[in-house]
Order: sequence, then C-alpha cells, then structure tokens
Amino acid sequence: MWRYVLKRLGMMLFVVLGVAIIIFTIMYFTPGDPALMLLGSTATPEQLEAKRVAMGLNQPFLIQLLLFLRSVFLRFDFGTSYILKVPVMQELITRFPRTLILATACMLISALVGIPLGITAAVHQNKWQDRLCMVVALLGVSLPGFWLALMMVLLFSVKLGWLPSYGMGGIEYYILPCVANSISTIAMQARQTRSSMLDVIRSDYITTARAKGVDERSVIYKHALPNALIPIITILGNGFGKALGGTVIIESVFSIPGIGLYMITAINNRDYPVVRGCVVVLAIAFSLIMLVVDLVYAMVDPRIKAEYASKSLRR
Amino acid sequence: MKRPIALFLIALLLACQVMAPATAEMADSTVVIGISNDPERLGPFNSRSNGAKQILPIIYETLGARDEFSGTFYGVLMDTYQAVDEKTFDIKLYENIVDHAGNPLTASDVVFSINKTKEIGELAEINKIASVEAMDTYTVRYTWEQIPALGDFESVMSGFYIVTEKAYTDSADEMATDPVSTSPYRVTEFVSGSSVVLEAVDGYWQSADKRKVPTQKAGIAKIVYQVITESSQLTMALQTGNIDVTANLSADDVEQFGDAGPYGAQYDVYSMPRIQSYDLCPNCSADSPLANVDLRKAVFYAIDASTIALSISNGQANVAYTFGSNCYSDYNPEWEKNYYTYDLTKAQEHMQASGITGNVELTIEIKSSDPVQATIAELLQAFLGQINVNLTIKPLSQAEFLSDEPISTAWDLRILTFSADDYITNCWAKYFDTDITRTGKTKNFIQDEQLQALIDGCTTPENHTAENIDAFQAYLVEQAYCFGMVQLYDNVVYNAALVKGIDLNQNNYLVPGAFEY
Repeated sequence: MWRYVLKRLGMMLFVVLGVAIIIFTIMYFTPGDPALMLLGSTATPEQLEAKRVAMGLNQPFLIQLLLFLRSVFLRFDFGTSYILKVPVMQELITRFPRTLILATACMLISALVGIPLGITAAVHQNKWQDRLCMVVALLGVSLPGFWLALMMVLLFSVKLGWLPSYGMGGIEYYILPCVANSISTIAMQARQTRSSMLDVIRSDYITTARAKGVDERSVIYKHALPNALIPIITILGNGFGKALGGTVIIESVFSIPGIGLYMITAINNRDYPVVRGCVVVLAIAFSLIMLVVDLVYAMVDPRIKAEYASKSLRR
Repeated sequence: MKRPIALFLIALLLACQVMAPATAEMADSTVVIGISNDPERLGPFNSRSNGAKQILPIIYETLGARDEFSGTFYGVLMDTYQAVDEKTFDIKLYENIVDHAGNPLTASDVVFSINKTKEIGELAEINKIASVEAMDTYTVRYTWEQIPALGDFESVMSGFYIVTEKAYTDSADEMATDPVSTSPYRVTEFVSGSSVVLEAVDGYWQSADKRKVPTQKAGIAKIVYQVITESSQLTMALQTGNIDVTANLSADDVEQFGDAGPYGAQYDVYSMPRIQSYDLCPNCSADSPLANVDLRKAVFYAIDASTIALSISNGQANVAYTFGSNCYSDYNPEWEKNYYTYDLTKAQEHMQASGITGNVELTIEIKSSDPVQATIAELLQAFLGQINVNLTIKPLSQAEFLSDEPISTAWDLRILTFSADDYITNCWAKYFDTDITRTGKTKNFIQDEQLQALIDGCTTPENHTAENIDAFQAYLVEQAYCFGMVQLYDNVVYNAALVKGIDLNQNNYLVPGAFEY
C-alpha cells in the first residue's frame, strides 16, 4: 500500500509540473499587459518599458518559464504579487483555509444529506418518497447557486435576521455560504446514490440475504450500501475538488476572501504570480483528494485492497 | 431600603452621563462603510485600486489638499510654500508632525517618499518632478521637469503620500498591510478582500485649534471599511443595518433609501454629479473609416444623448456637452447651445458629404465590467443603425481595454470615462495633449498642430482664459474629435441616526473622520 501511495505521489509531481507549464503558457499568451495595468493609460511608452524590465516581462518565454519552474519546484516559491506586493505563498496560507472550510463543509453536508436522500429514494423506488427525493434533487441541480444564495440571504438575514449576510467571523458566517454551495452537490449525490443503490439492490446476493431472513435495515446498510459506495465516493471526491476551485461565486456573494476570489481578481489584474500560484496549489489539492479517494476505495472494497496487495507481491 | 439606594445610584449615574461634557471632537462609536472594491493593498507609493482610492486618503496624509467644493488649496503637512523660480518651489513643513510610531516627520522623509514613489514607478504623475532636496530640517525644494502647467503644483502636492523613512523601512511589506502614517487614524486590522479597521490615534499632531484643513480630524473613534463586492449584498447590508454608509450603491437601489422609499425614515441620501463623464472617442487614424470628419459628424448627430441619459443609472444622468463633465470651474454652460444634438437629417447630410455609400462597419470597444457602458453601446447600435452604420460591440476586460488603446486597427470607437482633479482643460490635456501622450499623436491618433496649439494655449496658468478654453471647445466640436455623451450621479446613502452630515475629499471620496455625528 505504501509503495502505491509513494508511486501516486511521484505521479502527482508530473501532474503538477504539467499544470504549471500549461498555466504559465496560457497566462503568457493571454492579452493584457501587467505593466500597463499597474501604471494605467497615462504612462508613457518609456515608463511602461522600464516597468516591464523591472518585472522581468521583457525576457524570452522559455527563460521566464524556466525561472518560474525553478522557483516553484526547487524553492516552492510562487513569487510576489504584482498588485499586493506580498508573497503569493503568504497570501495563499491566509486564504486557502477559508476556501478549504467552505469546500469541506460543502462535502460533508452533501454526504450527510445527499446519501440518505438517495438511499430513501432507492429503497422506496417509484413510491412517493422516491418522487419527493428526486424532485428535491432536480430542484437542487436546477437552481443557480448565486440566485439561491441571494434568496437565502433575503430570507435568513434580511427578513428573519438569524444569520449574517456576508463577511467573516464565527461559525454563523459560514452557514449560508456552505448551505448555498452544497445544494447542487446534494442533488447530484442523491441521484448518484439512488442509481448505485438500485443496481446493488437488484443483485442476487441481496435477494439471497432477504431470503435468508436478514432484516431489511441490515440488508440496506450492511450488504447493499458498502457495495454501492464506490461511485458515491467518486462523486464526493470530484465534488470536493470542484468545490475547492469553484467557490468563487459563493465567495463573491458572501464577501469571503478565499482563494477563488483572490484568483479571479488576479486574472482581471493580470497578476501572473497569483494566478499561477493559485492554480498550482489547487492542482496539488485536487491530486491529493483523488489519492485519498483511491485509498478510501481500498478501505471500503476488500477486492481493491487485495488487488494492491497482489500487485506488490508480483513485484 | 436597598431599593431606594439602588434607584438613587441609577439616578446618579444617569445624571453624571447627562452632565458629562460631550467630547466636542470625537463620537465614541463606530461607523461601518460599505465599499464595493477591494483595496487590495495599503502601501503609500504604489498604484491604487478603486478600493484603495477610497481608503488611502484616510490612512495617509499629503503635503496639501484641495477643498472639495471651492477648490481652494490648503497645506496639510505643508505650512507654507514659495516659488524660487518658474520650475523650483520651496516647501516648509510644520515642525510638530509625528507619525503613529512617534517618528518626527522632516524634510528628509519627504525626499525619501517622493524618491521611493519614483523608484517604484507605478504613479506616472510623479515624473513631473525632476528632483527633491532637503534644504534644512523642515524645508524641501521641489524642482519640476518643465514649468508646471495649470494645476500641476496642487495635483502633485495633493497626489502623493508622505511617510517617515524609519516607519517605511521598519515595515516588513512596504506598508502593504500595516501602514504607519501621520494621519488621525491608524489601521488596526486589515483582512485583504474583507475589511479594514481604522482607529483614531491619541495625540494626533494637528490639534483642533491649529487645524487648517477641516477634513483632517478624527470625528469618530472607529471606522470600519467592509468590502462587499456583490451589489445586491451591499443593498441588503444597508437594509439590515450591517453598514451605516455607502457611496457604491447601485442607482436602481438608491430609491429604497430616499424619502419616499421603505427605508427612507432611517437613511438619508446625498446625490452629487459625478466628476467623470461617459465620452465617445472616434479613431481618427487612417486605419478607421472615422478618419473622415463628415462620418464622425454623422455618427455624433445620430446619437440621442438625452435618451441615453434616461436609459442608464435609473435615469440619474445628465447630457454632457464636451469631453468631460460640468463639475469643473472652467466649464462654460454656453457650450450647451452649440453641440451635437440628435438630428437625423443633419446626420444623413453628413453621411452624404462623407462620400461613403452603402453600409459602414464600425467596432466599438467597451469595458465588460461596466454595465452602463454595455447599455450605452446597445443604444448606440440602434441609433447608428438609422444611418446605415453597423456597430459591432467588443466588450473587453480592463487589461484588454488598456492594451488595445494604442492599436489603431483594433477599434473605431471607444467609450471612455474620463476626469481630471481640477480643471476641464486638464481633462482634455490627458487625452489630446501630445506632450503628455508622448507618441506624437493624441490617444485617438490625431496629429493636428492646431489642436496642439489650442491645448497648449489653455493649460498654463497665464493662458487659462475663457476665450482660449472656448476656442479649444469650438475646435473640438468643429473637427468632431470626440463626443461627450452623459454624466452620472453619485449617491451617498447614510444612516441618519448615526451620521448627521457627510464630508468628501477633492476626489469625491468619503472622509468619515470629518462627518458630523
């Protein structure tokens, strides 16, 4: 197992390298001049050229790319923000935990609500419980996140005054953003769980278990659910990764200074070091999540664990 | 027995409160101001985001400042100044200035601040100064690159922040997050992208009895700037009472807080014409069909600016009659009698005179971040369709919009929001003076010696006469080099229970320390 983890971590290095090269190239060829963004349209051509030289933007593409890769992979330094004049790493350390809290809470909520919804729908297939759960799921997928967020603010902050509508502080500040962010993943989770559970429930061993007189609760939670978990975990992992990189709308609506808002501002300002830093960190986080997902597969399914073990023995 | 004693003590406490002299200078409370742009960083010498422009004047002090309404120039850190010759000025500082860390501010700190701003090189205006030199502890000599144009001295004195060298070099991040200055307020908390908290400092160097600039005071103990980028959230923050003041509310939502609105009882609204105007600039280079003066005139006559004014910003807009707004002291209302007013017949006459037959394809560039520009562009599309001009709208990000400006093949028309600190002539100069653009052409690629002579003729203190200004405006109209379309209003909405009166600085930004509470 440890060999497998080390191998995956090694592969992750190539993934991050590829992401770093791609994002550097995209930003290099994106129209817009960071020096012009800093100095504004009143700057003279000489002032602009001097600024480009000071920022190292006058060097050839390959030199800039190699300098960037050396800085990231040998020193783990993303450089200093053109706009904020603060090391990107320092700002990421401050902002990333806020996004991580949002994404983690989103994943937990979608698991805690979406999986039971899906199980209920599958167990009561074609009954009113199934239809109700699927209508809820359909609504969750269909409603735009930003609209739902604003409606929730209107109800819970403006009308009822129960929760703060924006900003940062205690746990109460995270309730609305987390719920608004997780509605669509709850819906996806519920639909996936229902589908997986229906596949499993129709299996012969479930019929056998029922024939042997095992009570329905045990059939569902001990026999069916563990076997339906693989696609559910995949959706959870993907949802977590998506939530990490995709909280920008929620961060914007609720004025949470996380990594998404930081990255969008940086893209608009052509703040290359910040964009590159955010993308590389998100790539690392996503790769780690996928690694954890694969390890969880092994935990929930002994067949996969045995496969890892046999591969190790063959070597 | 206990009850009467308790009642007596309560009555005594209440009496003490009533009898205690109210502090004349400072309200012991907090004002929360909602802003829609992130200040991003708080460094004194760097370029300034829209959010920073609102906050930095509260954090730092300049050598001088202009009064928002009268335009009168005051010294802030500067006590007096005198001209040594046409290009040299001696500036005398107050002798009792100290920053929040207790460092005295001297002439060498001014020299350091100006040189550091030049070294960082993000504020282009600083290059008007050739050198600065400390003559003694409190006297600084400023030497200009050229004889200062009209308003240059005041702009430079009020445009750059001064801090002590010791405080700046002690800062780990060039004061990007933890500024130390000489102002009445000190930043006590800064969360990038979220909030800035400022608290009044004890022993501010400029005592009330010696204060020359009325806005330099701490009228309230604590100011919180809350960054709320989403416009409907900003409205809701006012509705819930989470913020007390904002100048960034969407024009569509302001009505709710006006006298007739549902929140009118709790809030007051102060409206003022915005210093920036929305202008239409044609590409006058040979790369565009608009090099043809008659086509430019046809385009301008086909535009109904009053319809545009009614259609944007909830109708809170005026028609503009030049390249700039009517907020400047050198604006002449007489210009309104001789400008391009919507006249389809004249437009068609000029179209014929242009010699162009068939449809004309034009591209207009707008900033995608500004919904007002998008609305204006759509209206222009409809207006110009009447004279067989097909207008393609090209929305660009701020970075792309800036990058495209010098490319004569990229655009035919652009919507600009333009302003100057002081005079309309300086607004014109920023766009049309080739001494400023330094490319030999105006920003819309005009090479016209007469235009340059006219701009030179009205941007020096001696030549800034009504006749010279009128001559430039007349030539601008005659040649159809640009078209002023509309001018919007800014609205400040404030909680009437806390704020009794608001104050603004020379750039129309709020000065919460000088509010009446």
